[in-house]
Amino acid sequence: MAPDRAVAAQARPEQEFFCFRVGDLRLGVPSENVLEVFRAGLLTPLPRTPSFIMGVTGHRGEVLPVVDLLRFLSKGEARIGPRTRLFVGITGSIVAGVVADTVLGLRRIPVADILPPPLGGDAAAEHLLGVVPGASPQDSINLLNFSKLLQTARQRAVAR
Amino acid sequence: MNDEHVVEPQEQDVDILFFEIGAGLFGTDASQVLRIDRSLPEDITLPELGPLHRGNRALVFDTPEGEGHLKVDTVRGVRSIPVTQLRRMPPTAGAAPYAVGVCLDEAHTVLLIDLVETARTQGTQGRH
Amino acid sequence: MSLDTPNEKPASKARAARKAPAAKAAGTPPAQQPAALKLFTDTLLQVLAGNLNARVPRELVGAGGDEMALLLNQVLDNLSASEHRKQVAAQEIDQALDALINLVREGDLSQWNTTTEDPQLGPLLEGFGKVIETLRTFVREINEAALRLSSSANQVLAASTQHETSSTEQAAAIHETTATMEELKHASAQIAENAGSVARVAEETLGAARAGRGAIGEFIQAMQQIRSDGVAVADSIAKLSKRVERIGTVVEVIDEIADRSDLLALNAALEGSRAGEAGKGFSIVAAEMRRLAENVLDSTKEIKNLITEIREATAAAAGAAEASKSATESGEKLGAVAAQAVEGILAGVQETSDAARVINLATQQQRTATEQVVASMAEIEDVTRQTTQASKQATGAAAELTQLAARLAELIKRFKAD
Repeated sequence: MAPDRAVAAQARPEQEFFCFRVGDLRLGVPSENVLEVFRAGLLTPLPRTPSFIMGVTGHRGEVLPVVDLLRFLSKGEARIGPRTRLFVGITGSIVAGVVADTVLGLRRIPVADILPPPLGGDAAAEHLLGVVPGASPQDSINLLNFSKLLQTARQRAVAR
Repeated sequence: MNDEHVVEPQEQDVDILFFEIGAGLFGTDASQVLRIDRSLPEDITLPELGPLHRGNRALVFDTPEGEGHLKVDTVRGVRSIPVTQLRRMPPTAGAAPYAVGVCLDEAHTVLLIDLVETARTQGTQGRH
Repeated sequence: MSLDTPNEKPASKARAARKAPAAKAAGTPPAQQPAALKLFTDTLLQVLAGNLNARVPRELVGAGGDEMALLLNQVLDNLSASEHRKQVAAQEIDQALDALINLVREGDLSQWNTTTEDPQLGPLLEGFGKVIETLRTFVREINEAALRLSSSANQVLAASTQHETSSTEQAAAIHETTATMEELKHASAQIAENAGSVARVAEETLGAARAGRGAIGEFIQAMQQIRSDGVAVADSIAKLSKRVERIGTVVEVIDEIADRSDLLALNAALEGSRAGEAGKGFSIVAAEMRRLAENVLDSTKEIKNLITEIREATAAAAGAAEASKSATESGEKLGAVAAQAVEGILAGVQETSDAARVINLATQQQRTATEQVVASMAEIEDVTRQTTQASKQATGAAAELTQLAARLAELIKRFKAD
């Protein structure tokens, strides 16, 4: 299987995505935007932050603001449980922990398979690179323009 | 790592005064605290940090405008914390200005409060 | 009244008798008489006519006839006196007769006090008086006796009536008693029958209770077996529970390791991804590792579910074992109680059976006795009927007697003794 896939990869351009599930959303983040995955520990809530900032958490001596993508995309509200993961998302100088209920894994997705985000979609659509359709609508993965998302998030937080 | 409010450059350790507001544990630079007093109704409150239980203690601190009184529930004491355990608040978090940093204490992260900032953010309120 | 006539008759006879000579004398043609003789004749005619006071006037007669006149006058005097005495006696006899008539008519004995100076009548009247006195005594005594008789007759009637009533009541009572005895006879027959049934049922019950005693014994043994089995089961469950808990702990450790492996593999894959083509193989290994970790996690999840199920099952089993234990304990207790009860039943049934037999016997005897009593009562009833009949007759007789006594008293009252 693996040699076949390697051959296929050479034949067609691919992009690697860090795929995960949060709430009912199946999302993909370009793997270059993900540094690390760890278990969500205790969060320290902060005063006067935007609602999508759940608080801060210490990780490897750093203080990371924790982002709830469900709130950010107005798709509900994430919950922290014993198996909840946080991945360290990065773009430029912005670093943040992002809540994921389950990590689906790293997927190399042929660029040709990526469909453009649906026109006239909701607010979430502006942060999408495109959609990878699955066997069923539940299996499709929304690929995030994560750099843009984090920048928007910082702007929203700091602008206040 | 050069935190102008919290870290004193000459010393390896910083005295942090820990206190509780409601269920939350917070810390502040102990050198800012002049004394601990009984609270009065007009003292500064920070509802964003959670609802007070009884709030019958006040942290008294100095501000350019005079003494400030922050109403708290319990004062847990002062501990020396190595400066290496203290972090500034990442700007991405967009937290309130008085939430200046975090004390990384093993599993916990304790929010550090700048008392003078509390007086500044609530300038129209509280005793001075 | 009838006595009037004899009073009259002698008088007229006497007159007739006296007249006859007069008429004979008158009829006889008088011989030539001297004047003196005529005086004698006239006087005698006058006397014969009833004038007893007529006397021969001696001064007229003359000397020749004087002595004769004197003698005749003496005869006439004697005659007059005799006649006078006769008249007085007749009067007294009339009075006595009147008194007698009155006595007879009125029954009044009290009025008798007739006396006489006539020496000839005296003893007669005295005799009458004595007779009347005797009668008075009789009447008094009869009166008294009649009164007593009446009173006694009344008493007899009352007694007789009472006796009749009593006798009638007695007859009714006897009749009733006979009826009751008949009922008693029937009842005792029924009791005998019932007692027979009871004895039979008791016999059957005795058999059943004996069988029950055996069954209860087996039940208690079974309960004891179940209890000891249950204790073994509870021990096994406790051991199983401990082992399951141990497995749970191990699974937690495996889970933790798998989760860490998952994270490690994931982060390794991310590392590999950043290493570009060089890290590609590494990424594949990491992905495989992750897959394994996920498999482990899936398995541990299953194991955890199983453990949860086992935990619930063992808890339920432990509860059931406990329940079974207490159930068997109470079963044993109940069995013991039941055994005791059956013993009691056996004893009771035995007693019942004996008692029923005794009752049967007793009621049979009672029936015989009752039949005898009924027969006796029939005889008594017969006698009583006769007695009642007799007392009715006696009452009738007594009533008649009372009436008669009353009549007698009434009659006797008509005789006045005082």
